Amino acid sequence: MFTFDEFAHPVPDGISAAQSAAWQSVAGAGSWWSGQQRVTIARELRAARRQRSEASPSPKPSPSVSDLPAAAVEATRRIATDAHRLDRTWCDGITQELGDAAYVELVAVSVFTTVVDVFAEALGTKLEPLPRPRVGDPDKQRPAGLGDAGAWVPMTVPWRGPNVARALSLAPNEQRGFMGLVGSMYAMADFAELVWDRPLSRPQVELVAARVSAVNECFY
Amino acid sequence: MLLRASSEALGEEADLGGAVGRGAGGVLHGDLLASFAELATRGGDNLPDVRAALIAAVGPEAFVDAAATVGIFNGLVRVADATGIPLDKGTLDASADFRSTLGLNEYAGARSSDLGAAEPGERPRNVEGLFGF
Repeated sequence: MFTFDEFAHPVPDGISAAQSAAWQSVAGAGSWWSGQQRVTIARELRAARRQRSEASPSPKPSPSVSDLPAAAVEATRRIATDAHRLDRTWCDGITQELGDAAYVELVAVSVFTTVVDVFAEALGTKLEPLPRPRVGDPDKQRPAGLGDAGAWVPMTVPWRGPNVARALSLAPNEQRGFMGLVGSMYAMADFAELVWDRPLSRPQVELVAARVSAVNECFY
Repeated sequence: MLLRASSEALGEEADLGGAVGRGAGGVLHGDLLASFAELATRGGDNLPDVRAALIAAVGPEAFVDAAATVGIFNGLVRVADATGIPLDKGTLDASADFRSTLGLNEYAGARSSDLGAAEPGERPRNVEGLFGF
């Protein structure tokens, strides 16, 4: 489990467990990418984030650190640095190259890495080392019963609840991992309550959430 | 939107401009929380100072809560933006009155939602009403 030793105060076990589980899942084969490829996606994501935060007179992207398909490198970098500018045409082009389910799995791995890294940076601790890839082949399983939810990729329909909770439907294992992170870091058992008995009040948490969304220029 | 609803549930008035860097959101230590959220997302040389100030102001437990929120929302926004998921209908309706004022409709991601379908009316008073549980 992640220990966050450099942070002088306790971190709830639930956060540590969910992040450790997500990290371990990155290292194993998914449905469309091997463990090696998934860890490489995480490395690309990390490199893109690092480059974004470095003040440089030349915004030219550095060469890729991997042998992933070019579309996968492009997608990972865009998700890291300017996700708010993505559009359906771009997504259609990428999914034509990779397949929609492989794209969604790539989104999930990129998001796991982002969440783990941003949390560490927020605490002021070192980034976790990338996990060691595990041997295994992708199972090529595509979930059945998905439909058009008005998004760029198929999702579970019908649906009750926040739309974002079904966004990774094409990669059900990743969706479970992502909701594990959401459940430990934000939407706990009291999500439906407007008054929280937590260290921060709900309005304080929602201000932080809203500010993060606005800084990312995220409409959702 | 949940900022406004949860503030109202406490009998307080939210300052929604805090979400876009105008004001402190109408919440205790809102200025520090918003600065921390921004710096931890963008990065910046003064992040350590703001982090220390926030821990001193709210305590370490609440600080971890804030850091966790920053972390997970940097993921949530990417899930939404990379999949082009439209805004939930309840949220679309309930946020119609301030999206324009705050400039949110100008964000590129607004193209994924049918803004014309918004039916502003009486706002849901609970989370279930917003998300259609």
